Amino acid sequence: MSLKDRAWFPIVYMFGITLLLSTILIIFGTLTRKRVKENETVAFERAVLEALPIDLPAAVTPNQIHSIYVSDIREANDSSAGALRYVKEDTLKGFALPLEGPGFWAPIKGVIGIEPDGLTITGIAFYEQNETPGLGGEITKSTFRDQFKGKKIAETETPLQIRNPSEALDGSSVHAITGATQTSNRLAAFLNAYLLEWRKQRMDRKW
Amino acid sequence: MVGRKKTKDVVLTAVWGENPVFRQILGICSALAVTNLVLNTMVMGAAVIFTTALSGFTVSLLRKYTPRIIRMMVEVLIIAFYVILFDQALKAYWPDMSGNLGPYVGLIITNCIIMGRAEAFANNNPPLLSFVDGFSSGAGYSLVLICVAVVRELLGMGSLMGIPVPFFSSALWDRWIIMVMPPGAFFTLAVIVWLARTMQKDTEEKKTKGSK
Amino acid sequence: MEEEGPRILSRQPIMRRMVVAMIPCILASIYFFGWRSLIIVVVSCIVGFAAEYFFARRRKEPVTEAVFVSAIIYALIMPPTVPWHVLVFGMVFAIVFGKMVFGGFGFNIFNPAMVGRAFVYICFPIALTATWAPAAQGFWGALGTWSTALNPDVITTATPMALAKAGQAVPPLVHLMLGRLSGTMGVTSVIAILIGGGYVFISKTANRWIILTVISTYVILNGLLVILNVKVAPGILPALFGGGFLFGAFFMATDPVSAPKTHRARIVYSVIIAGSTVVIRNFSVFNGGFMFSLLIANMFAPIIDHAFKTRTTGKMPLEKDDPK
Repeated sequence: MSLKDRAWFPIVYMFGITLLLSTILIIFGTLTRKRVKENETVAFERAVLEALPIDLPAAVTPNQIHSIYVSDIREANDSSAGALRYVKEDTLKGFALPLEGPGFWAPIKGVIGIEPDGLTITGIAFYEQNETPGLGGEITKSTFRDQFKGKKIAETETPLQIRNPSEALDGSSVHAITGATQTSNRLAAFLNAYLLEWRKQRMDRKW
Repeated sequence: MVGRKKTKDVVLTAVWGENPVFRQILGICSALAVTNLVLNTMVMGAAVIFTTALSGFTVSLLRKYTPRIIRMMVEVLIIAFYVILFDQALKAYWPDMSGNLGPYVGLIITNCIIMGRAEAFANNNPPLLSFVDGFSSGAGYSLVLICVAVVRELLGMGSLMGIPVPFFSSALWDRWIIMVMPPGAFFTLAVIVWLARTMQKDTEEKKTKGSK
Repeated sequence: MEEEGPRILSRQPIMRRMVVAMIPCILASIYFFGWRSLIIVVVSCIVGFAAEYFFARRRKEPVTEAVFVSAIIYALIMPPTVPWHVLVFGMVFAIVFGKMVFGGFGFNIFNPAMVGRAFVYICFPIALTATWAPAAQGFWGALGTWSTALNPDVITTATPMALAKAGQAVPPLVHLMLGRLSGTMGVTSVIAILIGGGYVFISKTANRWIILTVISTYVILNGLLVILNVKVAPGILPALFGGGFLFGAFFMATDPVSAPKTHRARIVYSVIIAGSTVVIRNFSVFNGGFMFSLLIANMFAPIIDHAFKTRTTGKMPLEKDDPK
């Protein structure tokens, strides 16, 4: 009776193969874990910097992003109501409010930048989304994002409107992406929820 | 040693004659999901080639020692190993692409082409030949996917590899929104399979006529 | 109905009557939106014929007259401003993918006109939904103009259904009846639809049961919404007269090929159409309620047929198709 025919052999064999392959995976995973973590952090930091009025060089490296972030961005405090603060030379230059909500396919995570007045938007950026490329995925493109610059957070129930491309705009509305109604609607829903909550918290703190 | 003719046969069969997508209609799910951008599709194709080739090689290497009753478990294990390896590498060194492809890299594990090649070929053939077979099957799959992606990206977004194409990116071209969405892949794939089958039928007819 | 022979067109009297029945709608479309409408219908017919001929020639079959019915329906549910390339593309798609790939007339599971319309609706959403040409005013309507869309002041007006979606007031019923409002070409005028629809109803060209069940179910469901005080519901008559529902009920739900073949299955089929139209129109983001409902019901038609057939076999002979 050869080794292969013994009843215990398949079990031991399976166990051996599993052990070998998972060991390799664990080693590889450990080697890359730090890098993966850094990638995620830098993606978030980049979104924060892009949402704020900070000029990033065209070919900015992850290390540069990290160092700018570390030097200029401060943690949230009471007055910022959950938003990160952009501080340069000891003066407050803006807020960066992280957002998160359901998209069409998967959650969308982003950051919206607001001036120290708490009303004017400086920009918006997304660091995690899985919308359809070419449709909902266009939210990461500058054509969509640049619309937000300079818009005012309105004192209404929908502080920032995302409107149908055929409709006219005012100081606190932007155009949706054509063909991506769902992404635009969902983005508008959670964006407004965050802005409302933020405004409310700031009001509560001020007075 | 593997004969040159045998190798050539294996490659031709895998890429054209028995092409996994349009002859066997295997692995369609990912074909629909990732083919709206050529670049994404290429990376996806590379991942499939990597997995089919190396899993074929490994399965074949172990074929004499693997007990028959657990061979499928072992095959899945090996396939999963390579897929996770690729996924982790992508996450670490190309995070943007990893984000674009989302869960679809992981889903290569369930792609029937790979399991099919392991079962049908690597189990009974030497490692090197299995490697070639896996590589060609993956290449045949990628080839079709890239064709679909070229059509979809060009018609749907007016660009190729993210670079705008003159006529298609101008206002003259009304972008076909449906091509960007999953149904676009159904139609494109159907048309490509249609064309490829028609071409194959023609060559088959010629062959039979020639032999007469 | 199906004469074999070396002819280009097969003769289909039912289809001819359908074409005749749609003439009032075509005339209304010309009256309200200008002569471009007529050309749209003609172009659709030519393209549809060419697409079918391309396939039928290889199979050595004649082109069916049904293709003109599909082409005219397709043209009538396009917006009057439809760009030519969209029109042609959708028509080719409708005939090739909606009909010929299934094996031609008699084998298609979906209504070809709706397949084409759904395809261009998703593929070119801007061309199909962003701008609506206004209907011409005055006694002579648009008889002196090429297209009302050329009038630059009033290029974007929303359709009644879009208004209802946006929670705004629907135009008065008189306008809905006459059809002097913006919308797809041939379906804005209830009167024209009723003239043509009455003809197919009386001449038994279309199945009466389907027409009656679709309309009555739709009225009942909308009535329920009104009784239950659901905010989104526009009311029974505006819902019935708006958005081409009647046109669909008379001319599309009754398509003899894509509808079920047995009597009871037809009733179920009609209920599905009306029910899902109510759901889609009132509770979803899309406007094309009837379009999607019809395609959904088409999809289920064979299996409904099958369900009723298997239930009846063994006990009694197969249910006979009721005469058209």
